Amino acid sequence: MSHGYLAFVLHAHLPFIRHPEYEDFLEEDWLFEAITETYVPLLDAFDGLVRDGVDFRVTMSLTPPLCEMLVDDLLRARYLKRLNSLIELAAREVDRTKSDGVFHEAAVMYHERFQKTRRIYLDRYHGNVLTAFKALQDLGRLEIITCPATHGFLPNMATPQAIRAQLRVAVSNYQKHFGRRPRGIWLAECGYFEGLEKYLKEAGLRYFFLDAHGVLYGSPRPKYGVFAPVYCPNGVAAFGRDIESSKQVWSSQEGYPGDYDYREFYRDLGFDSHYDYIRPYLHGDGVRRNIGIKYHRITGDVALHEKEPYRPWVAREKAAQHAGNFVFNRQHQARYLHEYLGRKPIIVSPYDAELYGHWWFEGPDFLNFVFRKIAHDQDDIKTITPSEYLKRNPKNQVIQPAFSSWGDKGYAEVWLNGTNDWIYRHLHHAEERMTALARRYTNPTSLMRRALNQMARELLLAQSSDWAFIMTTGTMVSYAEKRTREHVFNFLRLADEIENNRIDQQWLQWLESKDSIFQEIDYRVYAR
Amino acid sequence: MRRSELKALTRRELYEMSKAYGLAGRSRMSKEELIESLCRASARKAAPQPRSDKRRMAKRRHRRPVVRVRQAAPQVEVPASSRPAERPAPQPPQPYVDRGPELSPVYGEDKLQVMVRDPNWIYAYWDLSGGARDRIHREAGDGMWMLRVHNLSHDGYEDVPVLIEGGNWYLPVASDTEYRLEIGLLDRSGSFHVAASSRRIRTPRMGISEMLDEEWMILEEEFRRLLGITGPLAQRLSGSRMLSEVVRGRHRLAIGISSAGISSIGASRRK
Repeated sequence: MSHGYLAFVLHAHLPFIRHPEYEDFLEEDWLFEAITETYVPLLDAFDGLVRDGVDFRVTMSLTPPLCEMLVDDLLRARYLKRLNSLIELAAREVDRTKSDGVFHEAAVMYHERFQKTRRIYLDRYHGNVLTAFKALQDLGRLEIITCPATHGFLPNMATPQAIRAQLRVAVSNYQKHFGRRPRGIWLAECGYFEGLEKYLKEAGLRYFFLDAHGVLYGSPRPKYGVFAPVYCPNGVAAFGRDIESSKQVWSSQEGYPGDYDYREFYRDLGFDSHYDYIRPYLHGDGVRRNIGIKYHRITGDVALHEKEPYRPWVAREKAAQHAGNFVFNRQHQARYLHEYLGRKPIIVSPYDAELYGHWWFEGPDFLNFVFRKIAHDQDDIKTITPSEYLKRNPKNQVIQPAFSSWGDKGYAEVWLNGTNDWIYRHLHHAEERMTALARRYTNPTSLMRRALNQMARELLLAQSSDWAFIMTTGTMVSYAEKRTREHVFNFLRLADEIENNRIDQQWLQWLESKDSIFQEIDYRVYAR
Repeated sequence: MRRSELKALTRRELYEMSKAYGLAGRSRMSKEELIESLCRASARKAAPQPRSDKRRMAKRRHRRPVVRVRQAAPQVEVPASSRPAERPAPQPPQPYVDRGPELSPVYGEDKLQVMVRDPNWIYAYWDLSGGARDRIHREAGDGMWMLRVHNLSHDGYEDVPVLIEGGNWYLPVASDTEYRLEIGLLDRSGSFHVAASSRRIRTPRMGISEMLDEEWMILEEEFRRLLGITGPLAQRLSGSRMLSEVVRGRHRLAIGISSAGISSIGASRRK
């Protein structure tokens, strides 16, 4: 007998990072790592489920910047180059570790894995990972939802026009990539303020997600807590995050990924090997960095140099065990809640997609096992998408959710504190200026239209919440500051050139080729 | 900084680096001369340090911006003694810190903006370069610059003295309350000369609502139990720093329930 539903939500996002002006650029690695370690393994797992006739449902947000990068020709070419060099390195590793029994098993695993990734990426997906996601959606297993255009943290925006633009651009971009409108949205960082639902409804979005307190502190009190969606007064639905299932995976103390048999992230060949050997696989600056070949397991609460060798098959077995444990806990949770609430709960489990595969190497295996066990080993819970749930359960309580985010401390502090508050006077000024120009230039020349569109791009890129986040966490701060300053500077210069009718065509062309996100953008999205 | 590393850079990169070191005559130097000057400059003094972040967080070698998993220990390089014997790794050249173009902090407008940070803090920033500041100094003469914080939910206001040059301020406020701010000069006679006013904002609620739904009724203890089942709300995932917050958060939540919950049943607070 079915006692409840499980909605897995994987949030896949990377900020738009594309540097054609350099031959190779360190931060572009984030995309390449994500494709190799997260997206291809997840897709492969999902394809396997489809092939094996395992019924499952999963929800993924693929943010607009990520979508744009996944289909970008320059980045795709660079990715292939990186993948090929990784395969070459892995082959050398197989040779190098031949006499070394302990590490050889892992070396062989990497070599096979990277080759498989290339086969899947090229032969199965023709170098376009996005079409693979789309195919799964068209099959009805995956629901893809959108996210504000550049993952902007909406509560920190000053004007309704800026909020509308982030949403409208996201929706158009989604339509461009997936051939239909998105039903749901993952708000960047689950950043919500009272009244945001008005804009979501305008954009045609039907549901979004909140951290638990966004629902629990809502008014009036939600009868089912986070275990049922609630409707905002205007009818847009909100799903609250389940803390139990989150903790089991996220928590560095109690979560699965910390298990001693799993791969240790911080022992990487890029740091451990002889410099001359690894140099060809590093970036032009020759700085040691993570390559993605790691030979040690977590082992315990020990120093890095005490970590023991990684044993792939042991880890895989562990993942299967943990999957069983996860499913068992969800069954237990669902049965208990069903009885207690008198209604079948929906357990919403959102995670950053990059957790699976990149941070937690065995993550995609874990998910694979979870879906199979849910389908075959029990019948207490079923996986579901939010859309399906709303269709089955259209009657839900109406409450006004509370201002909230899933960032540290639950509100806006991560994106508004001493390290990053300086950006807002610039971003807000740019918002206002963009709206003013969008309203003034209703019939621009084609050159002017290009400049206005590029202004919109620069503003959107400056608004990526990633920059403020990085400034708070203190890693790569100069890159984040530079991106913010550059985009604002470009924006202001474009604005001045337009107003003085002195557009520098060469510079505009260069900007268009570099900050090339959202080719389809129309600056008038800021006018209303 | 080793000469060999410098040789590997392009002239453009060397030029940028010499800019960071403030080397005079750099635009006239050849690549060789740039390398020479940089070697001498780095021997003389430390490379310019990036502006120190106000938040001192352990520098992690990786850089993922969006990941929630916070590993307890920062990345530590494996000590040389446990790595296979090798030539000492050559030091990569000190990266010059390119922060991007300078932006002027003022835009020639008169403006006061206020943003919500959390239930108990709001953030205000201002730009009075549009003439308001000068005008007021002429009008009012001497006085103190203040942020006048109007409490729209409970009437009344509070004046908070601020450093006008600072351009911004964080204010402690009450949760679930509507505010509007003004910035101005309070002169000797007690008159307040407004330079700019802000929009209205409302701080978030902190804690559960007192409002009960008749149609979707849930009793007090049932709701408390539901919260208990849900799990610790204040847990921001992982890390030892967050753990202490979990403990505080649980405690805060428990207090919130017992005071706001029980005492407010039947009591008519604000609608």
